Amino acid sequence: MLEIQDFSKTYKGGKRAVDHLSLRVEAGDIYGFIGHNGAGKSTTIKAAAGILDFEEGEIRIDGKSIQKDPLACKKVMAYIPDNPDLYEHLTGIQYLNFIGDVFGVPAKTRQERIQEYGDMLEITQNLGDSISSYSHGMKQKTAIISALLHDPKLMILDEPFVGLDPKATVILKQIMHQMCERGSAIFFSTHVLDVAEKLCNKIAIIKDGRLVVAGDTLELTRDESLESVFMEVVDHEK
Amino acid sequence: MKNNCMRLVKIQLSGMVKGKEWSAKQMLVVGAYVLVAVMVAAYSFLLAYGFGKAGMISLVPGYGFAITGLITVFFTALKANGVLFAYRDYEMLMALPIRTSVIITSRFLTMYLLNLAFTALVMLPMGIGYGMEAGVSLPAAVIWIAGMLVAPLIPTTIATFIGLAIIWFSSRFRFANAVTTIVSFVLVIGILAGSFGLGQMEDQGQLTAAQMVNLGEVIAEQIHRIYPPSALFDTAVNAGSLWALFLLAAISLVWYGVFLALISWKYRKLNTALMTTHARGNYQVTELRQIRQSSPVRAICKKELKRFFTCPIYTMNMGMGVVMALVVSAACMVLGVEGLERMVGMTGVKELIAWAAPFFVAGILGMTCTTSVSLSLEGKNLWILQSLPLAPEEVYKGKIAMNLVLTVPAAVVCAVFLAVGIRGNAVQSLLLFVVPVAYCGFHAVMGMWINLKLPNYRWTSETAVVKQSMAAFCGIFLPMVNVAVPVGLVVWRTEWGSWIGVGFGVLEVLGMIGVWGRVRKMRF
Repeated sequence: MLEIQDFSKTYKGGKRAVDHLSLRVEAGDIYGFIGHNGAGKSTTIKAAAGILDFEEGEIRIDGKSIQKDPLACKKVMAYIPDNPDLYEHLTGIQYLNFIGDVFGVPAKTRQERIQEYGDMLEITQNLGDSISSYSHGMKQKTAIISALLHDPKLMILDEPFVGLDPKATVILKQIMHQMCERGSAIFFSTHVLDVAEKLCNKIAIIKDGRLVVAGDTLELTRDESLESVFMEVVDHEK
Repeated sequence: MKNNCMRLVKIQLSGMVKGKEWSAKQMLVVGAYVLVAVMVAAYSFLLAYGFGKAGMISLVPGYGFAITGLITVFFTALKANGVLFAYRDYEMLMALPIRTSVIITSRFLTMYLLNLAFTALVMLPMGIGYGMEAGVSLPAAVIWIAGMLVAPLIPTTIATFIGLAIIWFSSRFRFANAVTTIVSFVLVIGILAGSFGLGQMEDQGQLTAAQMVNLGEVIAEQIHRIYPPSALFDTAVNAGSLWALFLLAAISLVWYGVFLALISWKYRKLNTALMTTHARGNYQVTELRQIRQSSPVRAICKKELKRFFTCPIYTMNMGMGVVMALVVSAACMVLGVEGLERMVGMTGVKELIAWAAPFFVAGILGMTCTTSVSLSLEGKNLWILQSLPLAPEEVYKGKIAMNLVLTVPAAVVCAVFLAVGIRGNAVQSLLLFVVPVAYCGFHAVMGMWINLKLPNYRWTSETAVVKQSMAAFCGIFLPMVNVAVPVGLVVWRTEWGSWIGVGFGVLEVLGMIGVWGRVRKMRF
């Protein structure tokens, strides 16, 4: 579903944010992408979402290149950034309608999904208010609903649990499981190891732009916690 | 306190400059601003020089003081929201151990310094012109510079009070932004109408013989009436009166002190009222049934319209073209050709007016060039368009469509007004409809091209994009330049009016197609 091959990104000034990263997310995976602050997680995620241009490597979504066929890739994908700056001049429902229009989601399907996820995340009653009045968590919930409207095959999230209340966190995890059971894939970055360990069937650890470990969560954490694995791997790399 | 205040001012000023990539394009933008500054300075110098040659050199100090003051009031009043109130880092600043009065002073100082830069740009060259004609003396020069330093104080505070009054009044309504916009428009049109009326002498523009002899005094009296502090500056410079200068400085500083005390007293309450939005939290599930599907282009157009009407600074700056075109056209309808001829002081120019009118309207409507800033206004939201399955062409179409939704209906209404007022022949009346619409199309596409060439996504206030960006400047002024050639041709050869109308109408359509061909291949 998501294939990153030899991806590298160097910013102006020579900073190499990501260095020859390769990984693969299959249908049904909940893939955790872990790393310290400034490790290159967001750079990788933005490149996969088609927001960031890159010169080295290849990123394919559902077999198509994000650089050569971006529209086809984005039609089957949803992206939620770590700080979802939504259109503050719109109400929640107007924003969801806008996203629904862009993805061509039929009105009836849209209504059903907005109601379903709005009730699950307990935000339906706020959808008539301006997004400028929303808290961070409410914006996050609205962004999550907008990402689910078109039933994407791949969902890419950057630190999705930051700012969510505990109940919404549980609901989001349930939604992720449901999506994967239907054959979709989730790829998200986090530096909360506990969440990654319990939620993800696969993880990758990135350090200073390089992939240091990737694979099945159960295999990687056979005899110890993910936290220990992380510290071991990261310290060893020093 | 002084340290904190200066620190805050430094941060605010550096935010306007740092973070910009000084590419060749940016250097070009800076160069354009420098050119405009040079032109303003040259004009100010020549104005003073001209007054001197006309034997009215004593008018220069008061005139310079008044004109910079009035322009400062006009442009600063509409910026109060977002600079002194309801700005993005308000909460962060108020949480710090810094006195409210220091925060207000720092914000005010930033506005003052920017206004001082403009004041100096006008008054320094004027001072040089004055010195050349009236004779240079050190005391006069010192008084001039001292007066120049206090000049922005009163108008900046007045402007802040006006801006505050508008936004305080509007914040009491649910649709605060809409009320702010309407009140601001009424204020601007009122000022323009008032200044127009002021320019008309009592007895149909004729000066009496006595008034002609004392023209300088008449003008000075009018200037002092409009802006009383200019009288003190006049006296200080012309009579070398230090008392007048001290009085002016004292009044300015006391006025500022009163302003600071009043604003500090209610600052938190004012900002809370301005920054909290109405949230009802009572959306009903049944309302979901009203959802209708639109195409992506239409969805973008609707989003853009919402953006436009919910941001007063955007509506005011970019909507002014449409409003002015409608007001001017309505005035033409009421006055008729005879009235227009009286206004311009010429007779027998009906044909000229009839052939030139479509281009005038097109030029004024062209000031509503939302496409020149609409991409930049995406700002931090740009990730949304970038991550959605939207071809860049669809985004541009949506934004261009929004601009046309504003300008084309206005063009049609203006055409109706003008057709009634001018009562031209069939071709002239047809061109009133066709030419402005053709120009609207070209300007909308050209604006898109301008914004793609001069984007600015890193802003903290819409003012930086809508009022202060080169893209906005080009979007507003290039349409006026665009109509200058056909208007000039009509003035030169009125008998070619129909050919000029048709020819330039076709040119605009071809230009629109050509520019669109380039725009649709560009990426944001």
